[in-house]
Amino acid sequence: MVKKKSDIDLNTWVDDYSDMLFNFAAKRVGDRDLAKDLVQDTFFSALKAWDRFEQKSTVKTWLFSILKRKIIDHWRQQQSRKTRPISQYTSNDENENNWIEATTPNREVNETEATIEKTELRGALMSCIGMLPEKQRGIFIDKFIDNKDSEEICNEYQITSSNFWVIIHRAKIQLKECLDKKWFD
Amino acid sequence: MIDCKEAAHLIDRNDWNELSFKEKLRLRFHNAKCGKCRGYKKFSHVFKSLFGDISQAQECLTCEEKEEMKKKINS
Repeated sequence: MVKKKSDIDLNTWVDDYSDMLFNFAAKRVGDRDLAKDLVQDTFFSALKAWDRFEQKSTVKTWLFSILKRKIIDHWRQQQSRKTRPISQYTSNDENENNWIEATTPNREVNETEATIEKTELRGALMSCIGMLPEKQRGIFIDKFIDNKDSEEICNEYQITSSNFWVIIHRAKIQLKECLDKKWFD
Repeated sequence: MIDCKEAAHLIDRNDWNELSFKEKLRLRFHNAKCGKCRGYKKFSHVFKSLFGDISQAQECLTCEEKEEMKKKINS
């Protein structure tokens, strides 16, 4: 049944959808307050655009599509933001330095600092994910954040298993390069 | 003996426990001789662990946060 804007009960929207929208956003932006703001903005935008909503899909699907766009906008805004570099990274094997320097903290860094750095690193990582090409980003998020089965993702995107792993590998390399620039420069 | 390209793809799949015993063995033989791929294996493992907490967590809003949100949206 088609609802008028005046019939919408926003409290019911918050009760029914806020948790799932918040969980979705928090996993993608890695920041609780930001995720909350994004969900709130989603409700505002939905209310504003209600007259344009054709109601061919469910409200839930529609709200998720608005939230997804908001997350993408957030990632784009984050692209130019620089975070502070981490001081020291160590490895015993020269050949391995190229790979592990980006992710392994020095033992001397205390736990609190490490936690802050991990949170910041995660934030940088999330904004780097936002810079991946759309299809690659979708596949990567499906695998690494939503933990979907590889076969399921291959079916969804209609790609072969070998293509899937090439895409995942390239995404990892691009994210490492992005982190090097965003985080370590 | 597999090359580094194939080893990298096996490492990617190994993070998700998607290797057969034979593939694991081939990767182990390659990594025994290749420091760069050992490095990639470590990177890949740490990289995946960054996502571990995120994917498992079920984030929820508190009742207070929901009430606050309702007030803001309705105002």
